[in-house]
Amino acid sequence: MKNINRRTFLEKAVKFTGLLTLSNVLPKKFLSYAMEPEVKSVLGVGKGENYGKITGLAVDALGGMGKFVKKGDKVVIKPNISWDRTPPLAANVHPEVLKEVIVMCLNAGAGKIIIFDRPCNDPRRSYKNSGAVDVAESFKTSQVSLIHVDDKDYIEKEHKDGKFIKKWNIYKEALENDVFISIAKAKHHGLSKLTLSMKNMMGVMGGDRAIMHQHIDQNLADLNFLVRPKLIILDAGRVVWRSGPQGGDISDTKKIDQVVASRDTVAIDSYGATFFDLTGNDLGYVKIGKEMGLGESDLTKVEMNIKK
Amino acid sequence: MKWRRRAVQIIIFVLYIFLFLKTTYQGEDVLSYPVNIFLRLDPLIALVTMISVRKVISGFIGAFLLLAATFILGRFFCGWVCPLGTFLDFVSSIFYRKIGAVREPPLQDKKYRWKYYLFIFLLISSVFSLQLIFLFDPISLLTRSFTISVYPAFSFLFSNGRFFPLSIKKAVFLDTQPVFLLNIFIALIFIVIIFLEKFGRRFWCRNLCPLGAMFGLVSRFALFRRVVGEGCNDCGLCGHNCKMKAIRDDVKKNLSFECIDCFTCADACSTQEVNFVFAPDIMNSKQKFDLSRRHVLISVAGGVLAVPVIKNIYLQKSELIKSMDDYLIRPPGALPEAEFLKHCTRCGECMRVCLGNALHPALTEAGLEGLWSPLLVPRLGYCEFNCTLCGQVCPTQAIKELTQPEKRKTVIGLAHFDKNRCIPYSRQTNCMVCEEHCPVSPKAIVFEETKDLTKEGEPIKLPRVIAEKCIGCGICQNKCPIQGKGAIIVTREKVIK
Repeated sequence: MKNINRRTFLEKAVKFTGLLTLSNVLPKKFLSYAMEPEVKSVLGVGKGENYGKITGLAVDALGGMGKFVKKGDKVVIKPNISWDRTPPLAANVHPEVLKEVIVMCLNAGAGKIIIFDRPCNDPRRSYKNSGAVDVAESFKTSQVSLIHVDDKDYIEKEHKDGKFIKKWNIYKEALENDVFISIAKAKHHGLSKLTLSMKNMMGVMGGDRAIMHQHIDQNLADLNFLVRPKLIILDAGRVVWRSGPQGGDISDTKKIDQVVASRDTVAIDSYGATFFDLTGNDLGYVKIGKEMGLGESDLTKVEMNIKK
Repeated sequence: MKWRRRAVQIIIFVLYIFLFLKTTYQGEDVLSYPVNIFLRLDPLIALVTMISVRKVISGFIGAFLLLAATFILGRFFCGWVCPLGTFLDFVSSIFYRKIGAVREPPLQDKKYRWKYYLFIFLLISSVFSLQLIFLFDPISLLTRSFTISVYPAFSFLFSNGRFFPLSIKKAVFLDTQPVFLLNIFIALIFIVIIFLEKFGRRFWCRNLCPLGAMFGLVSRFALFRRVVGEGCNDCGLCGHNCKMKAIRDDVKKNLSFECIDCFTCADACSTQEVNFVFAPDIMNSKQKFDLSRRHVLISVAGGVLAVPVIKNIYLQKSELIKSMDDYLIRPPGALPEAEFLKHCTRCGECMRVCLGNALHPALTEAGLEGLWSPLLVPRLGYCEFNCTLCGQVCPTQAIKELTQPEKRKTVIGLAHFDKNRCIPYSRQTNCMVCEEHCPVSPKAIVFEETKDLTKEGEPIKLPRVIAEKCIGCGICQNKCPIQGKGAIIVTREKVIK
């Protein structure tokens, strides 16, 4: 560069700092909209008594697993297998649903599939009695692995716009992958009324997540900005309708016979609320999620593809 | 012969470690290995427990078969089987590099008598229902030390892959890192026993082990014994090499009750005249069994006196039972407190197998008598609703083996709210973590919506405990976000009868 006099130096300095400042503001307000053009939320719904089959139908209604998983992709699946309860008690994602998702991923050419949760009960018992161990072993391939989370494998993730949860340690596999799939279970929940797909994301959190329960609605919305699955599946084959989220008695469960798939966690939860004779507006986290721009809660604005 | 013995020792020790590592949940509700077999083969635990509880415990049949075998074979258990003995032999091989070269004078020391006095002491106090065997039984001691101190330390060393490859960690250790209260205390005792080897090989076995004393008493009349042939040149090598110091000034005779059939003397003999044979004692090859009458009497008196000194007075005076430690929560299926202490041998199997690392050794919570007995510490771990493992591994049936439906109804305590600290009661904020985790259906923790609102405008939900439904599993206290004791606290209240 040639000689710089004071005037040009000041000019350049002002322009440079101005640009820096703008570049900090711009992406948030404009760039993000530019990068993610507003698309209509779509719900794929499968209805029927064969939970494996209707899981396939729900994903097909979104255009099939090939839309999400490309050849050789590393797929990470986070099912809700959080409780030491057997499949008939409906506290965990049904093994048939989990199995069907893995089959679809493999058929779409997934290179590696990792399944994990951070259970509330003992992890070994929860994995085993939810049926997830048997599902993972049934594939007899090292491509599919069900792993226990390790305290050391967490990465701090930031979301400055979050109200309470601005950063948190998130499980490494949930962040470092090509496709992250969340399989949630529809259940009653004392504090937040229902546990659906937004609450399923608590399984990727490290540290002491019990404090999530204070201001749970806002916290769940914040959390879902930190981790955004590419595909969300809601297992509502048999649901826990009281004494949630773990039930414990067959009389605590009810048959809904639906599995829902979507990219939009707010839309899926808004639809999930209807299984319990509620609407999305009855759920605080759905309302806040919509306000924060996480997704669409108004089901009239959501495209529904129902397959039987 | 020596190598044959060593091979057997190593195989049995590896088996012991294998079963120790298998003492954990591996995907089946019922353990598939008899993991407590070494404890159930221990005649000292069997005898003293059965005397103090005045009941036959069926699981101990093997122990009495072993005792019967000792009548014929002598103290082969100490030399060939005992995992602590093998461990100490291994330690010796580090302390004394060349075992054959060790020159230990055949002392006339009478320290070996200590263990007999100790045995008498333990036996007498057990007659008065004070079960102190846990302090000195070698199998119990080894299992407890491994569980509380050694295994967690190794698991930690292997955990991050910095010192050892992670594949070892994955194959041998659990995904979770166990930590126990009193781990240093119990480790220190184990370390002392290891360092006693410095004062002579098998110091513990020779001078202190009451199980060895029991086998010694029985093996006095054993048919299988050491005989020395006519060609003996009195070189004394056998005496020098005897790790039990059972061969004294007259090398043709030995203290038969001290001999552990290790055959070291036969291997060391310069004239090949030492043999072990089945034969009646025609050659008068044994030395006299000589306990001092005065010391025997002192041990008996000590055993009697220990009872009022150590026994938990609470258990005798019913009105004082109420003042027992609030937080003395026993594993599910544990016998009533007084009976429990008579049964429990403090082997630590229940703590080892406990899924959530919830059981810890007690210090004074259950009185002096209850040292190291299992205690559920909900803040560190809770009792898993569907798990019945502790009852399955208990060798003395201090913890009953429960079926899953029985277990789900077994009450071990009662939860209480500390409303001064509970978040919805004291901070105008909702929480309800305890209610979410309560495993019984319908839940033992319920909540009511109040007219008061949180800062976000939601109705405040106030939780409370339904005492009739609470089983005291402690998951609520374990998961409570309030630090310290938590805002929901489990006490033993509902258990006191």
